[in-house]
Amino acid sequence: MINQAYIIDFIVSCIRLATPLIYCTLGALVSMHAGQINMAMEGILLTSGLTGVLVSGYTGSLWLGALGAFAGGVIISLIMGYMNIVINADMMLCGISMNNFASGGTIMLIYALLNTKGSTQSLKSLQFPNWNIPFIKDIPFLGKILSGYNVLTYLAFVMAVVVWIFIFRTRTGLRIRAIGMNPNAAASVGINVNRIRFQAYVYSGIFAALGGAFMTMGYLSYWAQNMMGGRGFIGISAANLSGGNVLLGTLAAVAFGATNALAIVLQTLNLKPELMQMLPYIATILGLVAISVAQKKRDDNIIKKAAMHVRLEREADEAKEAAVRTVR
Amino acid sequence: MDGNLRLNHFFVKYFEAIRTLVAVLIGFGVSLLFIYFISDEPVKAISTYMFKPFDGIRRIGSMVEYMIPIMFCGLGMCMMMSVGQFNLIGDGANFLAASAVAYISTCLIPNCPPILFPVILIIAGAVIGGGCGVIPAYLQSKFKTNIVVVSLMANYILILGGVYMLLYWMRDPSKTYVGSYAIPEAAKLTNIIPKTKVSTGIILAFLATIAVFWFLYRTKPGYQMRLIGKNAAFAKYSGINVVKYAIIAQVIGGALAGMGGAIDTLGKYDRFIWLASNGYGFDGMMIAVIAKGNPAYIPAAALFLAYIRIGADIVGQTTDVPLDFVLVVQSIIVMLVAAVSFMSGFRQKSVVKIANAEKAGV
Repeated sequence: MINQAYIIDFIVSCIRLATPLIYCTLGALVSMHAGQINMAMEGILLTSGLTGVLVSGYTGSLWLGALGAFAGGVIISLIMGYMNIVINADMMLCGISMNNFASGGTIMLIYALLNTKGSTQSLKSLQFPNWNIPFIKDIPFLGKILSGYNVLTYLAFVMAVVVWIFIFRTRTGLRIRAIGMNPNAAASVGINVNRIRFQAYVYSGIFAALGGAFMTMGYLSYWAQNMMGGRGFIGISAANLSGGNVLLGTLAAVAFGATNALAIVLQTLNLKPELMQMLPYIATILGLVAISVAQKKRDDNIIKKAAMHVRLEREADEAKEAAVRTVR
Repeated sequence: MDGNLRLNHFFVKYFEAIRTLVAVLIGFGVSLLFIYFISDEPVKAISTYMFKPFDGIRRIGSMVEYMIPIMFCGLGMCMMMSVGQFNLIGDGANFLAASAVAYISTCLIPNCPPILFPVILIIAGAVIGGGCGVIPAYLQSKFKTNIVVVSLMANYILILGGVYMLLYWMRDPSKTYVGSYAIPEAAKLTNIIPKTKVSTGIILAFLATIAVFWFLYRTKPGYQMRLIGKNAAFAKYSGINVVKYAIIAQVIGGALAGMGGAIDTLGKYDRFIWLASNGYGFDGMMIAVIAKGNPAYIPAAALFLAYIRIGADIVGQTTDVPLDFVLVVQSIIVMLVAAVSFMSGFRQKSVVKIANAEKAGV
């Protein structure tokens, strides 16, 4: 039963299901470096997915649709930023409320525009195309694994590089990291902390918006109520796991995508779908625990090393003193 | 002291309450705006939304019914917030407890003497809820995992678990819709208002409110828990076992949410029929935030939420507006109530005026 076609299918669905998670992870990473946790990821996915579908459906242009998705993500980020930064509401509470806001607001929006409840299937919207890479698609095994994905899937990996450059090689990225490490120190050298925080929210909204666009204009061809199923939170967890490292974050997102794919495969094997659907969430919790254990071990090692260093120095000092004493 | 100054004093003294009230009014106003712009017959929809919840005993009854589970979840959330943990397991705990109680009463021990039966079931719900509450609490204190993410992920797992129990353990195959076997009459809570489904659960909810208030504000462990919430480091250095009390508080919080699920199921339904979260846990979070974590204000907050929820429900049934706008309203209220700087400018001005007047007086 396990043959080549099966393995190819599995890998392909891993990558495909990982795509929105990668975008969310990237968005969460940006806000994480700014010392924030953008809990509104789920809401950003829902909103950007919907605005993308609506704009592409009404204008007939995919590019405007993508812009619409960005706008949706940015709007949620701006509201979140206003609530959290300007009027100082708790970050977690804001994020959770924004998710509720988005899940109610999107339903209101489609009702006002399309007069339907729950999904946009009545609107003919556009989809991002799949890309069969010339030449590579003809390679026997690799061709099927590497070629034929949605363009947004390829873009996800490109964006991972872009986000790495953005965070670690640009002026804004440096400032974001500075306010994340120590906001007071950053403020003391003349960085406008609140403005950078706002920017971090907006950038994280933009990156996550691509995930929303993929869900409604690539993975599916329509938007449906509560379709994201916790993907935003899984992205946040992947960012937590990575400890700020973009490459690790992307890999964690792919791993969570794999548990998603595994859940789907196991369902086809006649296992109860309700139990299999738990897998990604269980994996997320286990991942968070594993990373904290690893971090604790690392910290313990550092402390141990430091303690050993201190002891060695003291011993050296004592030896020196003893030597001086004997010379006298 | 002239009237204006007295007003300023009043404003500063009751600032928190006034601010909460303003936030609630803004949220309510936004909901009216929503209806106005979306509905084809705005006047009818708005009057339905505002006045229909009080129209007749049945509607008022449905508000009271709605208050029961969300009061329990809100009290649970007060316990979580008392130790400063934003543990959102209430939603999953409530759902799983409701499902498990239905399973126990229909399949495990269907023959049990009346009075004792609901008591056993409510205790079972509390135990299950408490068990759910311990997961994020333990992981947070032991591994420092983000409690919000873990509790939300755990919610998905618990809800899928509850649905699994319904589909494979207690589904009544003779029904065309998905539903459990009928819950035995002996297990149900007594109805106290005819023509409605208001059960003794509402009495239990008020008793629970008093109990939680008494526990948090009048007992030593309650004080220790609130101290942990205010300043965990201080609590630790004054010799309080922070980890132990934080976990206990969250177990109690989960247990309250679980009791809410059990009481809701036994008081209101003939069968367990939920295939997705009913959202009581998040409603509980909202009322706990409005009540600022103080159990004494939970009934009022619950009544307000029940009012806008039932109003939205009636609007959703009788007019063309989808009831989901209420989610938007809820989230706006939560954020405004939680916002530390919301209206702080006004307060500052009043304080300055009072100070200036006092200086002039001296």
